[in-house]
Amino acid sequence: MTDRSDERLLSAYREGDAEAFETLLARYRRPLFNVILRSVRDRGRAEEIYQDVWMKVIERSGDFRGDAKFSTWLYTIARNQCIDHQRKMRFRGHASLEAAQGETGTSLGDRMPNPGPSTETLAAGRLMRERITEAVRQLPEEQREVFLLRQLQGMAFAEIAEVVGIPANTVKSRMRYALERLQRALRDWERSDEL
Amino acid sequence: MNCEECMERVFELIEQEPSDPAGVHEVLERCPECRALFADMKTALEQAAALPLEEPSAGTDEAILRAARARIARGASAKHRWLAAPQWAAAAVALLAIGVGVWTIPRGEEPQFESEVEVEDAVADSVKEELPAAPTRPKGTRYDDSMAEGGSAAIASLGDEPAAAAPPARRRREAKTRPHEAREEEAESDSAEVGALAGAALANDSAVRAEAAPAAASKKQSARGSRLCEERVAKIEGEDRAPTPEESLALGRCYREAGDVPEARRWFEAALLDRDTRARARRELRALPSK
Repeated sequence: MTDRSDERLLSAYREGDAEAFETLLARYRRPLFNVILRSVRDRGRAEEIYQDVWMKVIERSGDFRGDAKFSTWLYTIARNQCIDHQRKMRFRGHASLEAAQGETGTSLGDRMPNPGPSTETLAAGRLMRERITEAVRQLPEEQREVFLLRQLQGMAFAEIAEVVGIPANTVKSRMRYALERLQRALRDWERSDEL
Repeated sequence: MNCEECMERVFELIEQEPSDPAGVHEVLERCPECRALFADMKTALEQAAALPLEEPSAGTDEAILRAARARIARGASAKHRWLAAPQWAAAAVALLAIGVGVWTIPRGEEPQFESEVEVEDAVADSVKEELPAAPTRPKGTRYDDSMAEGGSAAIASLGDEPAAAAPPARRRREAKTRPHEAREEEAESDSAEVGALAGAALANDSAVRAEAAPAAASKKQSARGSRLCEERVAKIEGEDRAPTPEESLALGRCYREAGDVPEARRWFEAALLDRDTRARARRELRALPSK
């Protein structure tokens, strides 16, 4: 079961094989959830969107004709759901963590207490993970989505291009800029640690 | 390849999707800046691998799997409905055939036919005895007027019973061409008999029906309601798509109206999975009679 392609698994599910769907879910649950989570930055909302994405997969499984890869289809649905969510949030006038507040020009995210390393005993690995998380959070949206699809799902650039709807070369550029930013952010932290 | 191109391609090399690996290697060997960029990129990617991954809650995964299984069950029930359809179609065709058959049977003649044939055969035999020997037609000669006259004369000699003496096929033809009034009289007497019988049967039937009327009426209404819901489901499936949450909700209501509580529950549960219809589906489920 586990060595079958995603497309075959989906086809088996359409034929009534529930186990095939379970395998698909097991394959994608972690990367998909994390891509959504890093995109909407709220666990509760990420859970909702994650569930909605799979519901759409279930509902539309009959429409999937295998012209594209399953992963492309899945992440296109996820991306659209995230965009819808962000649009709704904007429409409802929710204060975004990134939106600059008042005259100070600082965002809510900046003013929130930094949960960072509370004691020096924190493992170096954990510190690094926190910093990476923060650095990824600060990436511009278009760079972040490319970075996450590449890093978490291991998608080929051509596939990311299909999901995002841009040329493959643009995907590569965005990925490169994302990595440069990450590298810069991490170096800055290292420098501040040394001081 | 120059440095600018190399910087573009360095990234491809690291990401193991190189378009010109030899060219990149060549630039990296001679350009320290490009080598530094290569090292930075590699480090960034290694560090990015440390990005912590979170797990979706088990409850969410369970809800997804439940919905997936529900969809399979729904598909199977729809399949069964389609499998059952040819039986219905066959039954409908059979009923239609019977109906058409009954409608086209010539009722006035049929019951007497067997006895008529017997009488006709007997009469024909007696006629044969009375008739002069019919001239035999030599082989190859034409059927001429004298022969025809001989035949007519023989028929005329039968006097008042020409019809009875005619061969069965001709009798049937004559019966069809008989004066309209005579046929109407026959039909009236036939229909009077049939009417009396039907009236009696109807009286009996209506008496039985009157006893079972309320239960049958509600059953009939419920079946009709369910059929309407099934038609709606079939229509959606005919469009080769899954019902939308709103449609699931509507179908749940349809089945509830039809009194099919399990089916209504199933559709409401399907509507429960969508954020927009969840609250309404929950209200509907609460309003349903308990299992």
